[in-house]
Amino acid sequence: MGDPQDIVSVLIAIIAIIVSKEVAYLLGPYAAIVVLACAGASLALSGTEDDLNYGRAIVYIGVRVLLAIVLTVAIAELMEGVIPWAKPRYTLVPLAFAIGWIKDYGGVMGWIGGVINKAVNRRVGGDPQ
Amino acid sequence: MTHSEIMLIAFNAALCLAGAAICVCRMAHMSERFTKPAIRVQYALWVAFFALSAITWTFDDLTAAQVILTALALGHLLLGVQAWRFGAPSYTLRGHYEAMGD
Repeated sequence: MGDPQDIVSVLIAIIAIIVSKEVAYLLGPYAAIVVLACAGASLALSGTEDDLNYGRAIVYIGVRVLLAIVLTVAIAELMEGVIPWAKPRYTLVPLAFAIGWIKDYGGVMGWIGGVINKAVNRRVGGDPQ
Repeated sequence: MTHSEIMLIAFNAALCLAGAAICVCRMAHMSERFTKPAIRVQYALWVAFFALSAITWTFDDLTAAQVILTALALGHLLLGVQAWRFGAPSYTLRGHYEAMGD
């Protein structure tokens, strides 16, 4: 083991791996998701009636951007399964913006729960047995 | 990728972070009821501008990134057309903030 490198050299090496072209193609779609989610989340932030301090504003946007990173690709692929012409490369952008733009997640979860509940009740109610 | 290119990317990311931080700080004090929609969208465009500028290194075609960045900046100006419709808005005049007591 040689002499340990200084922290600046280590950081530069890490950044070099991240910015290498081999990894960039993987990060490209997620970079687009982050940009649109940031735009949507900041629009939602500016629409809240609460006067948030800086820390809470960062958390507000951070939560929405993280959620968009996690959910956008999955929802886009689910959409393609239901609507064959809705290719993820076209739906990623509006989906990421919409996920970032949601202000009331409780309301959205309630609505999704209602839709699932209706679908399940219809299925159980339509069961011939 | 050379050392200086990486340093430039990191420096640009720091500048973009600062710009986005200013926008977030201001947007945290806006509200749907009292803030003009055009102002809210203008600042959302700036956040998108800074976020995109920080990650242009992921683009294969930098011209596409440049076009989007320019469109975002132009969008910001176009949204302000109403405010400039009858000449310079009052907030651009000297002494405006002193008169407001700021």
